[in-house]
Order: sequence, then C-alpha cells, then structure tokens
Amino acid sequence: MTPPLPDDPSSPGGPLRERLTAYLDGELSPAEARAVLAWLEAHPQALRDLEEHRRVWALLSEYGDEPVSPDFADRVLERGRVEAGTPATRGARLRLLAGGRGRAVAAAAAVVLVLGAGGLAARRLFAPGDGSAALPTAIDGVPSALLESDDVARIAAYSDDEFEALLADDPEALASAAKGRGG
Amino acid sequence: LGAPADPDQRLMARFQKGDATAFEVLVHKFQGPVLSLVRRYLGSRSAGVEDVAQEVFFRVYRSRATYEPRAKVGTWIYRITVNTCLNEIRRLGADKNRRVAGFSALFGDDEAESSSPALADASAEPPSSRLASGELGARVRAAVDALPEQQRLAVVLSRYHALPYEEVAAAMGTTVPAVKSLLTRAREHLRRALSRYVAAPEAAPFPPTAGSPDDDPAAA
Repeated sequence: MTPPLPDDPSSPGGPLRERLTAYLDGELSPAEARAVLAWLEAHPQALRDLEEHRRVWALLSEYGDEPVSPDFADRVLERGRVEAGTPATRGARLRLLAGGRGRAVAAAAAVVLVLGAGGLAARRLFAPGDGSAALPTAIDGVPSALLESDDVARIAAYSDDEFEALLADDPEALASAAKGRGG
Repeated sequence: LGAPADPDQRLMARFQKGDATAFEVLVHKFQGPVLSLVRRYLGSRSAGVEDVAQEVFFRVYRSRATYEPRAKVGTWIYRITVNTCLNEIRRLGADKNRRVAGFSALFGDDEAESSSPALADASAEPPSSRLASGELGARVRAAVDALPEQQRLAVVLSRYHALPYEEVAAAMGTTVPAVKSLLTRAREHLRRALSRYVAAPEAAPFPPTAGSPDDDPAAA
C-alpha cells in the first residue's frame, strides 16, 4: 500500500508538489522527510521526476557570478561621506565622481572640481573679510593649490600614468609621469 | 540588555550609534551578496547593476535608524535590495510583453502560450555534454532570467543565496507558503527549460559480445 504523505494522502496536485519541493530544499522536519521518502518508494516515477528536479537545481550553478569591482566599496563609502558631509581626499572624490565609467567621466569630474575651485576663488575674492563663505561640498578637502595649477585641457591630455597619479592624489608621481611623457 | 550575540547585529548597533567604521565593514561584507542579488534579479533588464547596488547601500545608510535587532541584518539588507530592484524595474518600465514572450518561448506552459516555435527549436539543442561550459551557463542564465519576476527572485534567494524559506519570505515581504508555491512553480519551469541538459543518460548498451547478440538491448 502506498504510504500516505502527512495530511495530504491523495492529492496529486499543488500541496504534494510543494511538499516535494520542500523536501528537496531540506525544509521538512525529519518526520516529514521520512514520510516523503516512504511515499517515493512506492512511486518510482515521482522519484525519477524528483531526481531530475534535483539535477536541474544543481545545474543552476552554471549561472556563475561576476567578481565585485575592486573599487566598488570605495565608491560607496566615498559617496556616503559626501552625503554625510565628511571631507574626503581629492583622489577619492575623483574616483567617486568618475564611478566605473572610465577616464572620460573622470576628466569631466576634474572639470567640475576645477570649476568648483574657480568658484571658491571667486567667493574668497568677494566674501566678507572673515572668509566665512561655505565651501562648495564638491571640493571639501581638495588641495586647492594643486587644483588651481591644473587646467582642464591638460587633464584631458594626460597619459595613463599621469591620470593614475592624479587619481592617487600624488603630485610627485604626477610630475614624474609628466616628465616621462615629455610634458 | 547586553550586546547582541550576532556579530552583524553588533555592527548595526555600532553603525546606528554613528560609528562610520561599522558601516564600512557592513559594505565590505555585503557588497558581494548585494551585487549578486541585483545582478541575478534584474538579469538582462538593467545594465546599471553597480548603480543599483550603490543605491542599496545608501538606503541602508539612510534607513539605519529603522533597523530593529529582531531581524537578521542580512535579511534586512536583502529586503532593501529587493525594494531597490523593484524600483529599478518600475523605472525601466518593465517590458512585460517582452518578458512574457521570452517566457513563452522558453516554457510554453500555462502562464504563456504553449505552442512556441522557440521551444520547438530548443528541442534540437544538444545535451549538456556537447555544450561548451560558457554556452551552458548562458542557457541556464536565460532560463532563470525568463522566470516570472517573483519566481525568479525566490529562486535567486533560495538557490544562490542559500536562504531558508523563512528568510526568503522576509526578504520578499511575503509568507513561507507563498515562497513554497513560487519555488515549486519555478522548479517546474526550470525543469522544462533545462531538463534536456540534465536528462539521465540512456542506459548505455553494452558492447555486444561475440556470439551473444541478445546482450544488445537494442535488439530486444
């Protein structure tokens, strides 16, 4: 005689299928699992179906994942700092503004920073004597001397080494890379 | 009350008190799972996986005060991830017709038209042993991607994030019976789409031994 499944002795439909799914997913209690196993012994076709389900589920591992971008967390944290109004490094801000979109966007980000620095200079020029004008958020913590010495066209023409040095906020490496380029 | 025993909950408690380092640790710990969930849940619907995942962490940051230690931190973050993905799907204007067509092509079951030319074509596809690994991966991905939205999410959380039903339900904002039902239907769809790649090999005929043609099952 076919061993009945608990509280579902004869249903060929949904509840039984769901119980078999739960069995495959290890979601049944030991007693429930034993009942399912006993029922399967008497239903070889169901057992074969279940085995196929199990193999299909295992096959899903073929849908692999992709590695996390090495700078993903940095970008999240830098954007978080910006939202929180916490100063961050110039290089980090450039990376943040550039996101994962590559150099063209980073150059555009640099433009934003340079224009921001221009705005800052103007504010300094026209602000009351105590210099209390609020700094634009986008350039908090940016070494303005370095910024003001840059120009957008130069940034756009940087070699890869120079650009990396810029992102790393490393003036010495930037100068060295510029020499290497003959700039 | 002492500090929570769960290290993630301790981190959240520090984060809620304004410890920025705790948030950094949470980002580093959950960036992989969040990106993975976004990637598989959105599937081919969005190219902006990292942007969506970033938005998840900003929501985590902004809503830290709403976290209650009764919930597992991972489940709470998954719930935020699911909601962020849903917003993205809405933003993209989820091309329902395209998805239903894709679903029909793959499964041709009761949720879509059954007479699908694409499904008929698929019958000529080679078994997994004759597919390059990348090719098989693409077909599995397409099958998962073609699942209806809720089924896909249940599969991703259960299969790829190894969450028990209760946590899948919490992350999806639904009930355990609903999860069980979604997974049952999803398994059936996936089986129809992929069974040809896992079908048990036919009983290999033993090479006929000399003088014993009866050993060849084909001759039976």
